[in-house]
Amino acid sequence: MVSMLSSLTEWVLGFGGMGSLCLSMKSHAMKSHARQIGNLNYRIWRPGQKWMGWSLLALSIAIVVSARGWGPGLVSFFGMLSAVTLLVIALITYRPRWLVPASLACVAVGPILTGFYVLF
Amino acid sequence: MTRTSMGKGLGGSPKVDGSLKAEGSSKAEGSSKAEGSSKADGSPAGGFRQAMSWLHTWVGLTLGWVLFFIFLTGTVGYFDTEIDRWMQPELPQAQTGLNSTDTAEVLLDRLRVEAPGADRWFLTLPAGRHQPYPGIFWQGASTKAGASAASGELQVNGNTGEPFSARDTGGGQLLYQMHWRLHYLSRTQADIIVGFATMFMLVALITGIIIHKKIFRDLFTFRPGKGQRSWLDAHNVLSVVALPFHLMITYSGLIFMGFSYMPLIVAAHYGVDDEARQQFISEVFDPPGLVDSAREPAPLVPLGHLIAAAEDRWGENRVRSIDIRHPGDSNARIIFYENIERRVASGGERLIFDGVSGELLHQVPPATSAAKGARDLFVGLHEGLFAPPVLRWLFFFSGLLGSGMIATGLVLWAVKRRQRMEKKHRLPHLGLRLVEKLNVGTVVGLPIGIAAYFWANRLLPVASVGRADWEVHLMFLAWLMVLIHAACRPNHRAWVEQLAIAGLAFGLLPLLNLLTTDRGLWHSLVANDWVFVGFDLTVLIVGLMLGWTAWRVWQKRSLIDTGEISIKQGRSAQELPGGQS
Repeated sequence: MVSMLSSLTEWVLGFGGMGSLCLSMKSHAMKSHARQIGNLNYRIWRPGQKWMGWSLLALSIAIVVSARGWGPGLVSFFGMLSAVTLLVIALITYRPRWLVPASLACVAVGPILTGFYVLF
Repeated sequence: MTRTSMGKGLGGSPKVDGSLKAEGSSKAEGSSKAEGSSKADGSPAGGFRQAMSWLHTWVGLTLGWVLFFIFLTGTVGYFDTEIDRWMQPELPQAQTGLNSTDTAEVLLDRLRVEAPGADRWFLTLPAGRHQPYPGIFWQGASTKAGASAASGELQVNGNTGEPFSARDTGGGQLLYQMHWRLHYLSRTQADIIVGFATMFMLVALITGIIIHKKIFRDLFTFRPGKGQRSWLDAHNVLSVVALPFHLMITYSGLIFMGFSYMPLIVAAHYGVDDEARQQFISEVFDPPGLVDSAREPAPLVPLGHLIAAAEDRWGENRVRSIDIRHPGDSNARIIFYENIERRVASGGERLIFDGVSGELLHQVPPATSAAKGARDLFVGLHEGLFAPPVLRWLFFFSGLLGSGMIATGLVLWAVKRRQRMEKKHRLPHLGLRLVEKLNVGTVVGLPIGIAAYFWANRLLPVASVGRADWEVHLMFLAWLMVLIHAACRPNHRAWVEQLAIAGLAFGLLPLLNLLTTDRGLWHSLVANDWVFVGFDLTVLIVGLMLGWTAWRVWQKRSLIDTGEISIKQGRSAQELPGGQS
């Protein structure tokens, strides 16, 4: 079942990463949660979000490569990345308000799953 | 990605639709230049970009329909053996997991009956997804000694040893091979066309990357309901989202036929005649240590302990196939092939045994040189044979994105020019009308053809002569009829009608399967027959999506015919009803 766990972790981190990167862009961010948080702490946390996005993606690569090896791991990572990116685009286009909770959830759950994966 | 550079151009502030509209119309001018490369750039790079943009447009258009054909049939090919099985409903579920030694014995017995005196016996073991049933293949058998044919191929029931009898069909293999054989053409013709198309694709990808200035910043940007702008967004999204896949599949596609496209490199070392070429091929691909027949009979070594040795090395049930050269001769050689699911690069290890003494003569690693290793890696990536189910779906999905990228590019070409024509109150010229007809007749016509192929498989009488050929003929006849339909109908009507036909053709396949076989969806679900369940559900979903698209296009005329109405009513294209969704 380790392979199930590693795949789940890979996808959750991937979505969290891509979602964060999308939200780190001003126009997309405004679409998704302007009315919720306004521009209040926007300048502070947007750059952080960008780093968060890249780190989650890096973590996702680390997980999938350690679980499957370099070859199949990287292929799987890029396939996953296409799928989650399209999902992020669909959300930001048609359901922009959903993207914030969805990616925040993944940002929160991803590291926990990573912990499980490292432990087991 | 500096913060300051993000302000404008990303759809602006989306809270007011009005501002979007205003920006949209002000942009209509600028965006008629491709991919956001502005004429007002002033820098020398602007000229370069413009040249690249021109190249991208025309390289993409010229062979775009061929590329769409190659991409879509190749994508379907990621499920080749699954489609094979759906198209031969007489066959039972996969026989993987049988004991290798017993299965090999069963196959050998069958070969002794079917192909005595053969030069070559080939045993396929049911090692997994690629080879769901045991099979045999032979060459150079003696019909005088009682062989059923000099060479032949059979799928054999591993439990009973009897050959399976199933309807004659090209199956998923034929659909898959079409993407480089182009079916009706000779090998040479197809190689040339596919070679040029692949090269064009690579050029289109690279120029596309060059002219798409803000690859990362625009990655998440899709603005629906804005005519030409939306088509450009969609084209960009589909291209960039799976860019690694597109580059990989195109480049590796070229690698596949490197020997055909660059024959002089081989010729420089081996010579130009066919024999020299054959020598090169056999040196690179054939296992070492093969010898000619000695014409002295000698009993074939029992396979049992050879299989045990191979499985010791590779793991249980990981022998893919057993290739026996000159069975029953004192120079017999037996080659064991390792299964291929563990590495990305194509090919596994090979073991070569003496066919009389059973001695292990050679162990051949998967790649015999760095160059062949690199080639095998690209070939393996292209074919995706290693991919377990989820990854296989991702390959399929990426292929669909690639087909979508080509389709949106083609449509964008036409939409852009039609809008320009109508702004000048001119009638669309012949070239534009031709492209529009070919677009609908290929982008929707080819899927209709593929559906027709499946319908033919179920509806042609099982015993009829040449039914496998007719399945394919019907596929192309259906496509031809769709092209004629596209030529006769107004553009928008053609899209709606054909999308609806395609939706029905795919969506009703599970019903057809239920009525013509005893393996309907419910039966397959109960029997845990995931290949049949997967096929039925996939075509059902594809059908629903095509139907939904038909309905949307019918509602929103502006999707296809930007501005046609607006001219009559004196409005701009952006103000059409349904512009905001």
